[in-house]
Amino acid sequence: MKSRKLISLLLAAVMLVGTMTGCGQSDPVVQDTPAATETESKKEPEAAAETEKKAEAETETGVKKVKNLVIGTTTANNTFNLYGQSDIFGKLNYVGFVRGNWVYEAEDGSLQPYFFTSFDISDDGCVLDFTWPTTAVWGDGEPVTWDDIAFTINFLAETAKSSSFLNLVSVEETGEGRGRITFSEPDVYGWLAGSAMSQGVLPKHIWEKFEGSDEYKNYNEDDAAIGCGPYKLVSKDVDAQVSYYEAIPENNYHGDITVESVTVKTYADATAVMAALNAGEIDCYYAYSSPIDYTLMDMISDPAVDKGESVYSGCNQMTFGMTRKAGSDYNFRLAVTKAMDWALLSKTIGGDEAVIPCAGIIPPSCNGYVEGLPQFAQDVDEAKKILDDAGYVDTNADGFREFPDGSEMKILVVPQYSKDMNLRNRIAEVIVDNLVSVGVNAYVDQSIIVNSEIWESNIQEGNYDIAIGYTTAGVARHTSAFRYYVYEPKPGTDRSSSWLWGTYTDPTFNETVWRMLGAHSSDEYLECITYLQNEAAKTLFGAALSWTSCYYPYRTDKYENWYNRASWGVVNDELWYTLTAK
Amino acid sequence: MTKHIFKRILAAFATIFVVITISFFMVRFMPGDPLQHIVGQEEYYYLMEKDPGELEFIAEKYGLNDSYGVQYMKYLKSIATMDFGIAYSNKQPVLDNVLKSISWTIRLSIPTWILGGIFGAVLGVIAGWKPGKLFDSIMTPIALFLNTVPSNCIGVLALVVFAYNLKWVPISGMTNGMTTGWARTLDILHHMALPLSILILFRTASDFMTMKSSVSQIRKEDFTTTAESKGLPERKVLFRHVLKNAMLPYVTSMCMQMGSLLSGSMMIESIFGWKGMGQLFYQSVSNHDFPTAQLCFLVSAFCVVMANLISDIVIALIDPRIAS
Repeated sequence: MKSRKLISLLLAAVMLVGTMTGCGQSDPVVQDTPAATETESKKEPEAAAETEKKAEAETETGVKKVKNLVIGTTTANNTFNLYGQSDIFGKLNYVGFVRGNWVYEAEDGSLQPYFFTSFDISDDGCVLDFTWPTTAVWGDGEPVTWDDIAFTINFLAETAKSSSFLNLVSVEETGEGRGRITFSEPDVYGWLAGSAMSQGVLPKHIWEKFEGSDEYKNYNEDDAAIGCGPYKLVSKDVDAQVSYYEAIPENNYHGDITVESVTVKTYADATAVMAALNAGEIDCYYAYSSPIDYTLMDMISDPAVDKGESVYSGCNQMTFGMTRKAGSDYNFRLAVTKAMDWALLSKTIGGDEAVIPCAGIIPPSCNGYVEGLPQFAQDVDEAKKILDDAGYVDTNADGFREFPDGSEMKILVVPQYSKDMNLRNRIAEVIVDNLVSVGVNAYVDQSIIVNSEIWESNIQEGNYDIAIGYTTAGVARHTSAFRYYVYEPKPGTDRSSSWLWGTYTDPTFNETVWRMLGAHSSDEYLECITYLQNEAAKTLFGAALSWTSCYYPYRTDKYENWYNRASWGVVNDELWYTLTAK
Repeated sequence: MTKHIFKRILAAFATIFVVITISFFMVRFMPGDPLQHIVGQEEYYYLMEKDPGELEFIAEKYGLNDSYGVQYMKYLKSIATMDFGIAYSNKQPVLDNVLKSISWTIRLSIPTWILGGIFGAVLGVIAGWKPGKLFDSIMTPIALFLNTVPSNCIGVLALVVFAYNLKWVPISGMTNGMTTGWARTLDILHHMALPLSILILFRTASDFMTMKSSVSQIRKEDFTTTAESKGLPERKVLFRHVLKNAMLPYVTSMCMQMGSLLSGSMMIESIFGWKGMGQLFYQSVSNHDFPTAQLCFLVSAFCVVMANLISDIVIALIDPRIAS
């Protein structure tokens, strides 16, 4: 009897707990700012998350503003830290969203002011003179002052220990809305072209408590998201993975802000994003350097959805192991490029829209792209002839060629290890098949790609004949694909201080890569990258495997003046000032 | 009886200690460099070149440079003090992340457990009491089908039909957000509808087969025949004799299911974007987020051990012969 009562009580307790499910406990967090309070009293938060259909306000010039732009993404919507680059908040700040980035890169590769209203680099590259908007305000309503700018530069140098400021000498105010940053070395261009595009002014009144400490990196309180960009974070719902932002009219760095508010929604995966686009739940997609895969473009069922296609600045590429017998021979490298089925490779990597690359490696959308370099083409007969003439013949009649000295030739193909190996394994398969068809015994050693550590140690040792890797759009932006081919360490450092996956030992090539990465001016950068592309075409130390399109789809039924920037998509530095309602 | 329970409790704690140790070493033997996952691959190579000291600092901060012995002692201490450190992924306390995920998992798992248990029991009794009849002929193939087809297949199909085509339910997520109070509760229930239905369907099928098998076996026992030959009504035979004995394996199964209440369904949560324990565990393993993976594993193992313990106690209470 007692035991039955006990069991009954247990079951009743469990059922009571079960009836409490579905009761939402966490409420969305609303920023405690005067503007936020005012906003909350004006409209339902839920209505603000839906795309508005009518009643867009007009600017004085008669332009119809966008009431609420809804951006879909697959990046998490959890952390909101102005300094950080993680999650969608950090990624949106790459395009000057809540953070007032110092400068941004225009499509032609030139550096343009963003928070800076103008800037000038001295001839010796050591001094930056700039002007800044004295009308700018922080998201909490406080004005941006010179103290914030000076604080930020010193914070970056001393607390964040940014390598761009190793040679900082001073930061001084030179007039109303004017300032000067001085370095002891010509580091200005390197800073602006590198980290300045992902950095911006920090509010001294919030961040000064972190001076000398690294706690700022994990800071996730409400005021961690306060910036002086064109938008401020108003509310967020981490459970729903939704965040809501409103424009700050004073921070109109590129003219009138035409998008009054933005809602950012995170979805589980790209498929869900495409479904949401088709359903009209979101207006566009953004995930920095993670375009929608071309295979999902077939999901578009609404004619109002544009694929958002543009040329991708990253690429899959191959690297020859030039410290090994086969890769060190130009004839072998040339024969390989003739043997490869470029059409199949391109289609495998990027679908029908992909194109066969030219010999300069970097795609046309990259800064400094050189026109006119030869495009690869398969010519199996020519490949066989080159190998025959170079002495790679089948001396023992086993169906495979030997080295010119008669020793056995087995070509090791190593795809780069990553979480998703499918594509890279498929590329390796195609290359191996193509080589076998011209009598070259090629193979993939699976034991090398079981995990990232084993793979990387093999690559660092140059233990490959052909390595397959990739360059993301983010790396392509300034560092470029050539970084993956360099063999020698940065001048003044040793091999252990950096990752070195290339095997091209030519001193001029290596020196040029490092000079490009530390360029003191745009002209120097362009000179280096031009040389590197021509060198790639001449020596074939490596090659891009395909130049693909990337897809950042968006809807065209409600808004116009979308600007689809190559590799970035429609969500870019210009969007907030150009998009208008129809 | 008390001695029996005490022995079971001691064994449970010993098992948990072994699980703690295994989870520690298992996570650390996973291939791959956790430092890359802490900072991200691009940032990792950028820092290696521009600021290697920063990488060293991060490794020190997360104890990645300590010996396994030191890391193990720190790990035991963290369990004792309930301080599981900072997650590599979002730099928030691991315990906060896990508790939040648990709160979302139990919204699905508890109704699944209860409703699946009730439906499975009722349908299983009906089918097992009259095997071979119309009801059994219809239900058993359906249950067999659901037991063999993976839940993620049905989940994706259901998503396409009900969410994508018919638009009856949202495509993914747990809530649309920016709502409070009853509006939020209803919104969450709306988002729960499809994943919960899938989970209840599969749970019911599994429990149905268990109960049906049990009832149909007991149905054939001699004491059942004796009870019937005594002239007892069918209802009394079922509830007084058959069900009592059939409940033993069923209760055992239900108690074992309690072990997975907090671990979640990785597949269903991933398909429906439900940020519960299943998805958290999967992501922490993928991203080599050691602290989070360890705590997820520990929570899951703890629940299974406790479920076993409860099962032992309940069975002993139901059938005193087991304790003696």
